[in-house]
Amino acid sequence: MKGVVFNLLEEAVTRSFGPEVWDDLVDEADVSGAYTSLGNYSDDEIVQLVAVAATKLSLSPSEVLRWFGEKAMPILKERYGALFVGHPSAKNFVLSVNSIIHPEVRKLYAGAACPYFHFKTGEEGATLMSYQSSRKMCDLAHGFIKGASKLFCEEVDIHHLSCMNHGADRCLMEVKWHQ
Amino acid sequence: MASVSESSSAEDLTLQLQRLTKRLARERQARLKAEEIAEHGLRELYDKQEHLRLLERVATQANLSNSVEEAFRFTLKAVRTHCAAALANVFWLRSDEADLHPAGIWDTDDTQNFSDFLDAGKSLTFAPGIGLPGRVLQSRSAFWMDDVATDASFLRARAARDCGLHAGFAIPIVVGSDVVAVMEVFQLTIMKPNQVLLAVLTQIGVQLGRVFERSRSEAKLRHDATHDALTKLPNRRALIERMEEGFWPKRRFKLLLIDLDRFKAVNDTFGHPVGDLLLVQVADRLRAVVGQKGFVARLGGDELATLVEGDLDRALDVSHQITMSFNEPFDLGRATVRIGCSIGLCCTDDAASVMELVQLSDIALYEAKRNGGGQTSCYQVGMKEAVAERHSLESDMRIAMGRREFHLAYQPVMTLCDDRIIGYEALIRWDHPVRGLVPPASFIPVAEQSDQILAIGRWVLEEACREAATWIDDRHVAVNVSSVQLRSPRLLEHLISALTTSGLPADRLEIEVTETALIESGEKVSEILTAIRTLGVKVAMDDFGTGYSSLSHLRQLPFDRIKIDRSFVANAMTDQSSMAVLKGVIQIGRDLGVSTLAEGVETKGQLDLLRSLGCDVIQGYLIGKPTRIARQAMAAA
Repeated sequence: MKGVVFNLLEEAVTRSFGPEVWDDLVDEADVSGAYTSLGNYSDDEIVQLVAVAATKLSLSPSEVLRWFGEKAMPILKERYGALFVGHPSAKNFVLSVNSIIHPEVRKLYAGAACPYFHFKTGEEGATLMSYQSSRKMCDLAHGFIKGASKLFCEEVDIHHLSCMNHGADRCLMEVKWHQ
Repeated sequence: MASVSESSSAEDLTLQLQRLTKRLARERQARLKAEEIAEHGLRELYDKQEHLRLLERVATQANLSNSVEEAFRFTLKAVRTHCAAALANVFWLRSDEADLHPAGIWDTDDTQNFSDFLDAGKSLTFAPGIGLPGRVLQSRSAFWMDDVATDASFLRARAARDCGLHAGFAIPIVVGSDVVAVMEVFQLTIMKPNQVLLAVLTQIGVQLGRVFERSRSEAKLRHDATHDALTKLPNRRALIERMEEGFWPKRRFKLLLIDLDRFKAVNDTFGHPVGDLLLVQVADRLRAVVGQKGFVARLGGDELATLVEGDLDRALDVSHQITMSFNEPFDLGRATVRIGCSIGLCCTDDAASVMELVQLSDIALYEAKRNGGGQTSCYQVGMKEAVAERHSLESDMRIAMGRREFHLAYQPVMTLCDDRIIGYEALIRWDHPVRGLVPPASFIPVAEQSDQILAIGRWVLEEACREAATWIDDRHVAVNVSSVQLRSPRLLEHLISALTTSGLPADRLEIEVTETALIESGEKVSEILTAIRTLGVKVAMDDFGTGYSSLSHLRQLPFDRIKIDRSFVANAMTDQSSMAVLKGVIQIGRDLGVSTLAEGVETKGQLDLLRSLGCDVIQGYLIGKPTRIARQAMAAA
């Protein structure tokens, strides 16, 4: 997992709960906590941090990831504002993940294993998004979409039609945009 | 103390904590800044590498590609992929036009979605300064629009909006300092100008320009290889290609080969620059006759060709128009000349291939030339064989002399005043080992056309003189001389040589020339005949009455004898006009003091008639057939 994700998580936790809570998470998860955005760290560390946070907040890891994704979006915009320029809507922004956002990620991390999202237009302008990754972090994607729609001052409904966390071979989410 | 000390210690700790917190914040700031700088550097490095890779790919393809279209297709895809763009499109300049036209070349993953936008572009042309392509054409530099969907100067804004296109930029494709095309790229998002990208794409524009340049010079080379530099007409190769590719499959056309008459004379008289000028005017006239859609080629020298679609009547009509047009005088500045032309025409039905069509048309043209020029000859079945036969005869003739296949036969001529044999006409005979006896009428024209007549004529002169010198009395020998010999500057030399070598007195040699030969020999013929007579050699006009029958020839040119053609003798008894000619010529001879000889006398009746008319000398079977001299001489002895 890229260091920037740990940075975002630290920032989100710190902003919401203070730096001490992040220190506690790092200590309890027994991870190094020294993350630079350019570094690459074990996926286990993020899983561990999320698990500890879930216990502390009495939430499920899924809920923690969704919360994190949503909180991370404004921080991402502060740090990588260029990615958000020129998108008239959240949908437009989300659909650029394969063509703009992940290519940008690859510029920083040669050979980064970015997930590929397949998009299809569903009923009434909804977007069907399929995701397949050994990390099974569809909930993070869910949170990112939520956060993005908030940035564009839009409402969005996300339904997980199938989920790898529930035994499916891929995740399929239906995103309904309310502009 | 302790409390003071404790409180001071607590203050110290708070202060220290604050300092550490600040220090941590500074460190954190520094880390974020360092990360930002590093990320920026990595991004730039990555972009540069990608730009280089793109440039390298396009440059490689540009070097490999021979087709502008192919190079564009590759580059559009490469650029669009590189920019993660939705659509890339090309406009270019057609030759000699100032506005950009859609090239019909684009690249996208979603043609269906952008079809309306592409269609909107297909109906547009862009003048310099107009629209995105026009701006690039005018400024010769790349141009960026953040959002074409809302840019008032973007002519296709509405179509762009409808299919979700936003940022758009275009780069010039340049050859030297000229813009030859404009490539435009469109994004699905609004984007601020990326100057680095534009600089890279501008480089790509230069690379593509090289393909244009190469394609242009190749086109020029191709053009030069298929066109005549002087008249700018397509050449032989282009004619063949045109027939094979465009015309041959349908086979509904006629090939006309055109050869100028008297072109050599113009060249010889006025020089090659004037000859060239004539060819240029000839090309213009030919183009004017066949019209803009017609195909005209110069095959080399003064030979041209055109293709006529339609039936034979149409081809003959065009042929007639060409002949009429070429018969009009050409104003060449220094001189006005009249030339005319000969045309060989062949229908596709007669040929099995384009090459054969050309060959058969050439045969027809040869026929037109052979028959005196100024006419059209259509290829007819058998012509090819006739030409082959002529060629075969010609090549046999070349070796006939060495093999001693020629010999002379002598036909006696007799005076009517005292029935005396006064001489013989020497007649050539060719005894071919396979063909047998070849009639002179078959091989003499071929010999004349191939100039072999000079060698044969010289041999005849020498042989006749040699034989005549052995005769026991002073009988003369008459030898036929063709127009080719008359034109030869060496005729006089050959005459002297034949007389000297044989020892035959000059007044026992008589030269026979036809009136046609006189005409063909040109203006100097009078001088030549006078020079011959000055040697003491006699000159007879042969076959009088069959050609021009010009009395002025008889009056102006120095003759010793007029030979009246056998047809008048044969018809005199039954045909009044023949009788009139016979009478007239004999009378003219008497008036001019020139001896008259009637040929082809076969009956006693004809002899009596001629005697009564006052003819001087006769020749014919009645007096004697042409035979080998040995017996003649003995008979005479």
